Amino acid sequence: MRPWLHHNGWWLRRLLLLPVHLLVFALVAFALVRTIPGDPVLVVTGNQISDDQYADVQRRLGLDGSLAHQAGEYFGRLLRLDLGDSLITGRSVTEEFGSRLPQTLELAALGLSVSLVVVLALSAVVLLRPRGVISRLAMAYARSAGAIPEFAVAVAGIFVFYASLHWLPSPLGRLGPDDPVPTPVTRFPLLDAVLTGNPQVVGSMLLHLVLPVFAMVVANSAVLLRLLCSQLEVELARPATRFRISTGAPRWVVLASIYRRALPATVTMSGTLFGYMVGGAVVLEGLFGFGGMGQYLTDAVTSADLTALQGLLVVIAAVSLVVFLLVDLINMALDPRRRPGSGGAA
Amino acid sequence: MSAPVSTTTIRAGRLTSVAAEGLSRHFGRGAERFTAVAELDLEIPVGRRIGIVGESGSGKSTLARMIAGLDEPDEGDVVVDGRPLRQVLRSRSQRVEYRRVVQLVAQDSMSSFDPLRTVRDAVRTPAEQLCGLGRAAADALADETVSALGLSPDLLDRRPHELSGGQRQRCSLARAMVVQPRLIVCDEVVSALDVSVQGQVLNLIKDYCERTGAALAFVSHGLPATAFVAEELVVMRHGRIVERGTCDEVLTAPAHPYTRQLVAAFRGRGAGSAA
Amino acid sequence: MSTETTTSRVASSHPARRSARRRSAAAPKAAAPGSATSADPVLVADRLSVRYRLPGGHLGPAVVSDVSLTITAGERVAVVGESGSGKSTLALAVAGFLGTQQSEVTLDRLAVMGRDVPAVVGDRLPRARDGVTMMFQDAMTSLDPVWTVGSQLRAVVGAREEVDRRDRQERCRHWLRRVGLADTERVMAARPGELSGGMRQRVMMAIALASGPRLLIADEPTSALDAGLAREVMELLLELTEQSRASALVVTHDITLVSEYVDRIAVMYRGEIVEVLSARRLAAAQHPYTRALLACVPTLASAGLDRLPTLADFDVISPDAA
Repeated sequence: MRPWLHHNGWWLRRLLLLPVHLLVFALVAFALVRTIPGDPVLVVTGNQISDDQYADVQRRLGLDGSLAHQAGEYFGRLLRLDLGDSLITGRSVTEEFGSRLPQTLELAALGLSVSLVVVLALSAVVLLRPRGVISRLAMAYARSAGAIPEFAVAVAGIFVFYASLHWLPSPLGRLGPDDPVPTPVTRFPLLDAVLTGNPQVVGSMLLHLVLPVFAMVVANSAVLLRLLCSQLEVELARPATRFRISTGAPRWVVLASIYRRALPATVTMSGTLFGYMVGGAVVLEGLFGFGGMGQYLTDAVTSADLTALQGLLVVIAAVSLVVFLLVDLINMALDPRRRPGSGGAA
Repeated sequence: MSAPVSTTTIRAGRLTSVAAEGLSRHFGRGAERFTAVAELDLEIPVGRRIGIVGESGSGKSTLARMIAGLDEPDEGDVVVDGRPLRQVLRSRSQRVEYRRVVQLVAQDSMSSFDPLRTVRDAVRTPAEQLCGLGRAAADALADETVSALGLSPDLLDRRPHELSGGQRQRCSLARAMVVQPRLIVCDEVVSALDVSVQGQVLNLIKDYCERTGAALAFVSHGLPATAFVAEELVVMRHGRIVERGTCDEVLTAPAHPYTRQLVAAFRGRGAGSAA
Repeated sequence: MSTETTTSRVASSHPARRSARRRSAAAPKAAAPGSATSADPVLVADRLSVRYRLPGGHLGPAVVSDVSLTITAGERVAVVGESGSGKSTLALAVAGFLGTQQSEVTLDRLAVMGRDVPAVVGDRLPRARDGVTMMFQDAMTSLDPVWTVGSQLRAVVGAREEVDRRDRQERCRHWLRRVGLADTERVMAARPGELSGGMRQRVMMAIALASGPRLLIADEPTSALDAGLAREVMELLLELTEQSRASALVVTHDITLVSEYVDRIAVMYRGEIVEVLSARRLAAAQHPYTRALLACVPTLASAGLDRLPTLADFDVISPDAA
């Protein structure tokens, strides 16, 4: 048991930090709402309300009673994953998020995954055939990093591939009008579609995803590609790489060795990029008629729905913390010197 | 080429002796705990040149950093003219004074300079901040110090990467000598240099100490270079002093087995030298 | 490679010997002692010059100029010089690590074990040069910090011949024991950063030997080490190349240390080999630079001197005075 713990302590310890981070963030969110200047109840409702109405709204916002009472309520609800009810619609915020967030996250995750596959493939071509046509195009594209916004690519894509060529289905949802709607099990649409086992549904959903994912990949891969290529360049020139080549290690081993040392920076960047991609996904949802967080967020902000916004704060934080956890774990697996307690040595 | 003794008048620093008393320093925790320096006593009176030799990991660099006040001992203290260094460093004016009379020169001259600023900037800053000189006077002093080290003052306007290794190391000497310290602590200053440049740098260090009567703590794993600049040798191993004596004593009649091994390792070398 | 000039001495693209998968057939470990004394020298470099391309695309001055060097089977040669003398560039050219993009090489001939080899490589990711293994400075630099010693060793052992898993593991242990590392399991499970300096050096040597070199190049193997470890490394290098009947090319600035371990010393100064000496007879050095260099090395006898001699005392321009 002890040696096992010794060898696996690095990721266990990092994993156990997650609830701590979540707790700290929840505390900050709790304090933040209570330090907003002015009376939130009045901000939400306006001045013209009766005392009964005031007390009711105050209770629904969790702002009644002593601070200790408020904190107890707040954390008790959080533990039950209860984010309260919307002030405007009266519906449970948790439920709204539960049905919408997976759709948005799935879209962003698909965008990031395809992007990473494309970047890995292109970087290998650049490394091995630096003077080929593909490499030149790839590097020209990498230099454009950040210059092409997602929605521009998406709009152009819709115009060319749907409106003109009719190669892709209409941007009016995730499925065609005649496709059966899969029962929500995981609430991740593509996953649910796969679970139906109906190839028609899966195929249709994939076709509908082509353009939005393509837009995300085109808009976001350049940054990753440029970073990875420059890191590969650095690692390629290291004596450690040359020693491996010189001792006759197989080519794939040399490549693996270079990639393993070059990747951590790209992994970290992917974590940051995922946040941007979630933001991008919200825009794309509107454009392609997908369900998701997009419309809900707009409504919450314009109607000053404090419960919904509070919930959003906590959920976004949780998602980010999980993403950074993954980034850390992957990087520690790639580069053991990053593991806590490894003497490391420079 | 001779070591700088400036004509620009800056008030001479006062220092009679720096001594390590029961000095210990540990790194790491638990099972990984490692003692770099263990209950070490060593006095360095001003006017004396002491060489500290030992292999990597013997604790000699840690000792050098503690003497220069850049690392804090876990037990014991460095005693400066009868007062503990901890206490000296607490007051701002006394800390400035200590930084002025005790200067450290490190091995890696590349990383000890700011890559974005000129070498002039690095050399005159101590003169400005530690001696309270104005920009013009500090500039003049920097020029003077650098030329005394056999470098053209034009080099001062370059950036560190535009200098060769030997030039850069002489600039770091200049940065230390510009404030006319009474004790120079050298940590492996010639280890990374070519042999032909080592001699130059060693001559300059010895020359400065002889002319100004400053003390020297010369830390190195190279016995010949150390024996040349120092009058007295201290041999360190596993954080402790295993032997000390004049260069002559240690080289001709080493007492400790480790010292004998060390001397023997260098004894064979240079036998074929033409000189 | 179209950028190269057209003189007959330009190292043009020898058809890359991709088919000659290195060290496949005659694994040197199995080679009979007699084969090492074959008539062909292990290395022949004839009038080799190297220039680096400057950022603007122009060619810089010759870093190595008109260097000729021959190393016979089993011979140990040191190339000694100071920073900027071109000694490391020479080693890179021999080991096949100079690319057409950064350098231009002119030469009459470069041959390893009697076979002509290209002096520059077109690929960004170079391929191994048959029979030549190069180590880079100390083991901390040469070894890959993120992989275990075992995986680094296995990659090399497995590349030489098809061996099954268990056999490969046994061979790895064999090489580690050869360099004096008895606790093979622990060493193989460790990453380079978790080993002591001395052990790391041995691991690097084990990997280098497992690749079965006929010529082992060591670039500044001791410059980062203290005196004791430096000796240990040189002794190990000597002993192991002797056992495997490989030749050695040691690139270093430490002329006195290396002279105890090699047969011949080639002294490089400003890109040229100015003198080749027998390591036993350094005192017979003729060239002013060599004599000055030898005189400048601090020795225990320097303890009594007032000042150390420098190159300037011998009217020799130090390569450092850029």
